[in-house]
Amino acid sequence: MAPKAKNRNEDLEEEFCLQAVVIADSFNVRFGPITYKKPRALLPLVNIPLLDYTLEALAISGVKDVFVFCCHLGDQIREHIRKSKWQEGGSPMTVTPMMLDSCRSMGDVLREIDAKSLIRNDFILITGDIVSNMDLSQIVKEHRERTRGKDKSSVMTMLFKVALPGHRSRCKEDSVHLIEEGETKRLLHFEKCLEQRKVKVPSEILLEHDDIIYRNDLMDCQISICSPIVPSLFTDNFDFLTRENFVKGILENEEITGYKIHISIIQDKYAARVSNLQTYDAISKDIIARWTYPFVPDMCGSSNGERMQYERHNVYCSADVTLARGCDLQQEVVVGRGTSIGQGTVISGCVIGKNCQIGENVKLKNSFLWDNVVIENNCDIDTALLCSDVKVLSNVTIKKGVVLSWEVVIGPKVVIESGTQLMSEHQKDDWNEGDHSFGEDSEPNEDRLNSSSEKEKPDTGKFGSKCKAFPYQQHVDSEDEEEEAVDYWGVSTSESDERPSEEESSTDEEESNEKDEEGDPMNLEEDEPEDVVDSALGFNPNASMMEINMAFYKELLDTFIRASTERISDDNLILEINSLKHAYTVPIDEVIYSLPAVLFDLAAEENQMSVTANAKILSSFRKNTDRYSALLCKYIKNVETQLVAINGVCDYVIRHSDLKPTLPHLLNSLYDADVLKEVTILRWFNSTPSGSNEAEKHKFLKLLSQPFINWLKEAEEESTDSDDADGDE
Amino acid sequence: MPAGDGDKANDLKERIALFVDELKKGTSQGSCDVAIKTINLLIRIISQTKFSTEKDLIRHVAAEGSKIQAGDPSENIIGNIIFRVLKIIRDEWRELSQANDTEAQISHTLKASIIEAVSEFKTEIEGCVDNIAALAPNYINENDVVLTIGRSRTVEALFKHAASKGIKFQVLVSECAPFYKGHEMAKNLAQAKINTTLITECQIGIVMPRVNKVVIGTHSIMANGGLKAVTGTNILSVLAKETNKPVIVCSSMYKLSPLFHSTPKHASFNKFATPSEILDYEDAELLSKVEVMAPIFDYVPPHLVYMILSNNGAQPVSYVYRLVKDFYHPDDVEQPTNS
Repeated sequence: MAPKAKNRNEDLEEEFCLQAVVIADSFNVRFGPITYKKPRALLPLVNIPLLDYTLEALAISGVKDVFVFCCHLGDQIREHIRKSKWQEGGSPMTVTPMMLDSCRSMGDVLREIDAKSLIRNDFILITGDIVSNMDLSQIVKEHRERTRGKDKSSVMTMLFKVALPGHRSRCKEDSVHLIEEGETKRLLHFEKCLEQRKVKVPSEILLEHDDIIYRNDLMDCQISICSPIVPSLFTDNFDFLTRENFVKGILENEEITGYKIHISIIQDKYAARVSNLQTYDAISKDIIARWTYPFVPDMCGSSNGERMQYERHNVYCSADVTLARGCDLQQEVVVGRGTSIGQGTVISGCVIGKNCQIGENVKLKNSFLWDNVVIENNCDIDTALLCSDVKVLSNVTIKKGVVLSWEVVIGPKVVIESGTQLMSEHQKDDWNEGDHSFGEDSEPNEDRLNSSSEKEKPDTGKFGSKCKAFPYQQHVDSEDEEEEAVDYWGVSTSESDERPSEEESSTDEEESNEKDEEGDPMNLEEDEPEDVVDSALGFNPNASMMEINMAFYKELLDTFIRASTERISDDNLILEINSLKHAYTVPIDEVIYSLPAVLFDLAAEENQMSVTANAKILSSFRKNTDRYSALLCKYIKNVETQLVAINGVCDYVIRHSDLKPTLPHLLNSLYDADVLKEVTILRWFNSTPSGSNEAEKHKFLKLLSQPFINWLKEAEEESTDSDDADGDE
Repeated sequence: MPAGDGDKANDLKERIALFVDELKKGTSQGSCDVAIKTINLLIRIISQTKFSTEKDLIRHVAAEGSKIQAGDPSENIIGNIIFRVLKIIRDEWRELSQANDTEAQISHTLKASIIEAVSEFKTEIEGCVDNIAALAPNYINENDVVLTIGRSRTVEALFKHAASKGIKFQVLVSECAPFYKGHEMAKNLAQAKINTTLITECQIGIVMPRVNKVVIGTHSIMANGGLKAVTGTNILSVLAKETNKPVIVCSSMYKLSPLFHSTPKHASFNKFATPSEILDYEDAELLSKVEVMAPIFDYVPPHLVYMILSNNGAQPVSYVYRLVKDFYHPDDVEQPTNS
């Protein structure tokens, strides 16, 4: 059904028909108790389902073919598409829903696309919860020109919008640091950032490129233009789960595969993703403030032709709204049709759905009411999300950050504490994990703690005598928003899935573990004990340690063991280490950091003992350092790397507490093997690290290594007489 | 509709969808373009409709028309064209029913005569700009300093025509922030070797005493003679009134709307664009504190307008009510097109 488009990017159209892949599943449960009944893509945003925004954005971009991949509750999405205007004659594009119940991540979907070979051309990859008014065909054109022209190996163009950190629409989980090459807009480095203040930049980037731009002021729009090769790359790399995995993988292996990623920064236009309740709130506000023009309530009514009237102070009213005399719609209010609002009610910053009934003297602020919500007289609601068919009986006060899921009834005369999430039926077992973030101060409260004592009847004391409400249990108690983002950042999306993980358990456990470790070294941190100050040491040993990828470390150790038994030459060993570094995508610093530790473990292994301060092990460690001194020098060549190595030794000693007395010995061995230089050791010794924890640690280490340093200093004094200082101190 | 016409019907639906899409995107090329596209669609609708009485046809055209109008409710021209076509249908039917006796005869010839009349109307629209431009020598004199705002194709044609007649005059173009259509206008005029100066809106007050007349285009003319014109036009007209300079509005007659500024139940008069033209989205702190309005149109009350230059010649503003009566049938107008 190709319409006779005449004016729209004629050259583009003639060449190919633009395709888009919409992933209508988030593979996470950021919307907590809401998405168990309705998929995220169909949640109403300013009274229009999210998916419709995405499809409209694709339609204005001149997309002809859209594949919507539905996983969780896919039937509803399929039904929605079937009824939508895209299925009518005259629709500018065809929308095909694809049911993929088995997919558990974005990677799975793309592998499925590859298997079905749906993609013929460059395509737009987008999630089903994007709001955008951008004509993407321009970016597609740029991407095509790039792939046709000088950068044939470009596989993806990612879209970003400038939004300074702390911007309301920036999802904390998705905020990124990136480095682009100035002129070509090539992406060189991509890293998700938490609230951390430090950024690690691979030194290769600085060495190889003259013109680079570091940016942290970009918001990832989660829209990407992909070359047709992308799905097959996902098939080749079965460990790519998310787009982030993919981007990182491509960047790490750039030297090998030669694939490149470019970025494009949106000017003037709007694009953002509804990724959690915080951004849901922010993007709703953006729509109301008309940033998404022409996708504003008065321009694009919902599918049934409902159209709103735009009034001053960003108030949008449907034609048949009943407003009682004396009710006040202050600013940024959207009222859906059939809604009636009672006398003396004050509303600001709210979106109200269809057929809602709001009583008298109600105060509504920054809240979202979906369809058929009933609010009785004298309620006070601030920053809450009320799903369809919720009933709030009279005299209820709802504090910030409350979510009332479908058909919840609360009241009368109760106060709902902030951060409460309620469901209308008792939570099923397979629903006991999830998270959400909303409002500024969602504190852990008693409701959630109490709810563990599985009550079958609603808590009438807490939620009112006529209530039909059960608390929704979160699987992690969060203290505040920032922390929550950090908590969930490390977990790859498919693990916190909405469904019980049958598939996961059936797969080979080792394999899945390995996959996790490869994908994300941070995962390991969670298994380690809590970061607490070790009373014996006087500092927190974990806080200042470098995160190391245990899988990589183990593999490295195995390589050395094999090398020493099979007598593999140093050159080949270096090759193997380098390939390991690439395979596990660890930075070079981590390799250096691990090397001394590996040599010690190797010594222990050779003597078939556990790691202790045994003389035998120490002597074989000395032997090993001599044997591999050339290899070590390849990696540990300058002051910086030597410092990293010293750091590695120190942390190793701290980790194995009974090795503490041997620190001077270990340093001496490395010194004798010419790996560590005297100047560097002294420099390390005399350095004063910032931060109290670091300082404490350094003090402790100084104490340990004092004998060696003393000896070094003495040797220096004597060195005028003899160059060769032999023996232990 | 019979099954055989299915393809045609689908084709029509597609065309309407495409046009609506274009309206939503705002990519149409000026009001004449919109008018012609609307009338083309209406001709197709009429030719594909099977009807027995004129009432059926009117109902059908009005219904289809409201679908088109839904693409951009504030685009009055679409509504104007629809009302004009409905009036043509009524007129044709009346004429035929006076001449013929039997209904069969009427319905036989009705469709053809309607299409002919509508096509005539279309030709009229196509010639509008040239007709207005031809009036230039009467209104632009040697050594005139003329002020205009933004870009209007009609005004541009008028100036170019005057220049081609060898009249030496100076044009001041107000740039029309934040959309800066005036830049385009100034460029086009300068290319036609017209002495052109681009000024900002805030300079209008300063240059006004030097100006001989103000010549502007408009989006549409309301039924009371007031204008719905690009933002900035109102203040321009007020300043012109202060210094007693004539404000001459160049407008084709299809821009004359039967609606008033505040006709209830009709789509909102104004259109509000995105604040991104005015405010940077990236500034989070400011964003949450301010409310930005970016209206696209101004309402200029009729007493500020001196005269309307139309394809039917110069018309005084006080005569607009009469033209509205001529062009539109009250029954069509009272039915809101986008309920």
